Amino acid sequence: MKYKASRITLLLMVIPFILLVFAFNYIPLFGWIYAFYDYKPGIPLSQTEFVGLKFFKWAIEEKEDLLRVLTNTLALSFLSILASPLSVIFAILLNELRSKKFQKLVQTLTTLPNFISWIIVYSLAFFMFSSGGLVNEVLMRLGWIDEPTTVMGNAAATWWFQTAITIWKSLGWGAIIYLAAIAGIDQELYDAAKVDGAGRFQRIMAITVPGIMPTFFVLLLLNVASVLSNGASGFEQNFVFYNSLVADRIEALDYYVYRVGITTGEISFGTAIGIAKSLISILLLFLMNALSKKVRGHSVF
Amino acid sequence: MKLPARRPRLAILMTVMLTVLTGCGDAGEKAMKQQNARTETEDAALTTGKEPVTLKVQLSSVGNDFENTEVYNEIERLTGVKMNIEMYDEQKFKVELAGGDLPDIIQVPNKNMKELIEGGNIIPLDDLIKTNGPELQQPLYEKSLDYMRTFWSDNTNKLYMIPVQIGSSDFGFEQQVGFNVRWDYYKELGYPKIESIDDMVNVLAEMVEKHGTTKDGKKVYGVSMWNDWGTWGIRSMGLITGNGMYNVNTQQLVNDYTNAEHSSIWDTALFLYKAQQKGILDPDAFTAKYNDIVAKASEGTLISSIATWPFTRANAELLKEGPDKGFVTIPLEWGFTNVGGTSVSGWSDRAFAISANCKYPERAMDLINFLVSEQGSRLIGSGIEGVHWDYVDSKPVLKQATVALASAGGDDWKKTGIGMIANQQGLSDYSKLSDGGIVNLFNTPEVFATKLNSLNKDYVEHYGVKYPAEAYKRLVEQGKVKTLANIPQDVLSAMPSQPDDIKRIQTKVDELLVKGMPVVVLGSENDDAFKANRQELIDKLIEAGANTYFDWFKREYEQSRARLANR
Repeated sequence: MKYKASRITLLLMVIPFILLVFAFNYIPLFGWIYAFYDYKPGIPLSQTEFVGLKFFKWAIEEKEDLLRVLTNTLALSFLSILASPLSVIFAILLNELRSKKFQKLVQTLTTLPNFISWIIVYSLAFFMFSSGGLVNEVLMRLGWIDEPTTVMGNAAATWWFQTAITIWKSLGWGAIIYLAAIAGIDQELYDAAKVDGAGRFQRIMAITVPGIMPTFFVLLLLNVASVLSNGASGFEQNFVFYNSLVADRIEALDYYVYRVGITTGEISFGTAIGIAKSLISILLLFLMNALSKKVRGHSVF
Repeated sequence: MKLPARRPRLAILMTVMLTVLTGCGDAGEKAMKQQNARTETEDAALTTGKEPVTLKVQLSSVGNDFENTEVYNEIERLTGVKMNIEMYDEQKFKVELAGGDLPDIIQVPNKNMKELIEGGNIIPLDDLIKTNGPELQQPLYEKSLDYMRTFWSDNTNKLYMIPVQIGSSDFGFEQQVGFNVRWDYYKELGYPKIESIDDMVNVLAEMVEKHGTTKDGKKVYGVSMWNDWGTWGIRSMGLITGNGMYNVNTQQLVNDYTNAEHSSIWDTALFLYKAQQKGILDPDAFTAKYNDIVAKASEGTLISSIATWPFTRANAELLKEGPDKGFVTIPLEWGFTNVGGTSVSGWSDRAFAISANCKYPERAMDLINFLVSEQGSRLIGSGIEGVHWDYVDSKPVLKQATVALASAGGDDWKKTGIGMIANQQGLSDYSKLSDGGIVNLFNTPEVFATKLNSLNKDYVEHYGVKYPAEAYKRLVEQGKVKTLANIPQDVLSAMPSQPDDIKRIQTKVDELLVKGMPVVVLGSENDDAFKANRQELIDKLIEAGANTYFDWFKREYEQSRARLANR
């Protein structure tokens, strides 16, 4: 009886969160209905024409735009996934630092950028990389270049530049979770390895890396599921760094949905693309989960 | 809710008593006192017996920094309506419209007129002006309200909107939009004549050659542009040349996208390309946002712009360095300057409407009635009677202290709130009111003369005029420069909102244009390559429907013109 009561308490504690998830993640799904109507803001849905799959067909007709946007989304996400081991390496290196004070200092400094809003990041980038920016000024004064570089307006460099900014912003933050995972590894394993004569690098490769792999894979899996939202940064990064010179290489799916939905006012079309994106993301998550189960014998769900 | 303050009544009583006690010395004084009595009676009529309310108002180009200014407080005192101001933002507006959360009073963006009326988001005002719009029933507004019913009503023939800034317009103190350069540099070059886009670029190139770096060694550029105002930047040269969809030079409609010779778009492209060829185009010209341009202007790395606005801060600093240092608009003896004209429809995207969410539509109408009235317009443009201006010999005249305050600028001036809500002013600055004066008492040659700083003085002396804008005015009078008076503003304003397919085409064409322009400007090595690249982009624009868009525009323009003529 006592056991049952504690179970009910636990359940009651969870209910508010379930309600929150329901309110903010499921109720908005009713908004999907707009994709099937020729909706104009200001005119009630009841007075709006039902058009079925018209806007999904449109999406197919606008395949050139969609293809470009998808390529950018996937490229940016792929590069950010490719960069995800950097947080692992960084966490391991931090962990290996002898001076705890210095470790905390580095960790704090690298975590800070995560809390800087994207508009400030843009201003910083403009201050650093614009034609009259710090980088150009230093390089020109050193006589290394004659004309200023314009990385923010260089289409060819866009994917790399954006990835570099994402890494700068998220490296320290991403390392926190791995530092926690490392802290969870049994210290006796290290002691035993030491006794067996394992060097520092060997201990890292034989104990630390395998110890944090499950965490890495869970995060990787979640990253893959959000591949169409181009990684952690997504819309805001896209929004602030967008300009006509790099437009064709930077515009990702979320920004496109915003542009057609809010800026142009094609709310129905934007919603249709949003739906397609959600469905593909769910499909990707299941695929990666199945793959993980098959290859590693583990899965998230 | 509290009852309204009774101060106005007391004020009238005191005025009447003073008049009785002191008697009337001369005719001028009598007229002045009668005037006072008249306006204060009106004040009382506006407030008597009405409870104070707070209304949420969405205003164009005005934020809540206007709140608690003297003009703001006076509006509240005279109407009993407190404005809770929200500045218009296109995206916020769209979201509010979609969610049914529009504020009590809005200023209608013309392109959203149809949804607002069709969806019942704004209410008809025909009955309300009968009960709460006494000023709007004056003959002065008859034509404008008739225009609103015919063209801005989604064919319902009802009155949904109250226009602002109706009447005639003229030059102010100085022209802010135009070819802005450093005056001392221009003087140094011997005031060269500028007769074309080529000349503009050449003058800038010479300036950069002489002043290629800032004091702290940063490279100076001649030309740049901001890119965060939609396609404003890439059409901006039309504000100088007069080319655009309605071409003031030919007085005809021109396809701005495809007509390379008479287009604001291709004029801008040519200007940027020539600048690039001379090596004076800022590498950030296609990435910079407005604030970036302001930063460049302030640190001295940019020496021209299409408007004085980015140089406001720079000008204040430069004036400390020398009496003739600063940025000014050079009057060119050709093209266009963005001023003038008379409009029945008033300013586009600014007409007032009351949303269906408003719980106090009568009070909202009271407020609108006041803002567009003679009294309201004068208050917005010139400040409070007795405080900022007064009647001298029965003529309304600004007080010297007000002029001094305006010239000094800063927080004390801002606190007055004068001129801050010109976008909500019913009658245009130069409209003549029943007291014989114009709405904006700052717009007189006498006041202009007191506003001149050392830079202005040097400028006006060179051109032999009394105030900076007069240099333009003279050219206009000589027929050399066109103004808004050469544009059929009321016909263009009467055009209906774009249907969905046309809207989509224009979006697509603009998108291609914004992306393609850098290729034409930066990717052309010589004039032939420029022409070829330009043609290639024009072909793409045509493929995306630029001609279909223009055909629609032309058809609707002709229809609106015919409808306007037949009224």
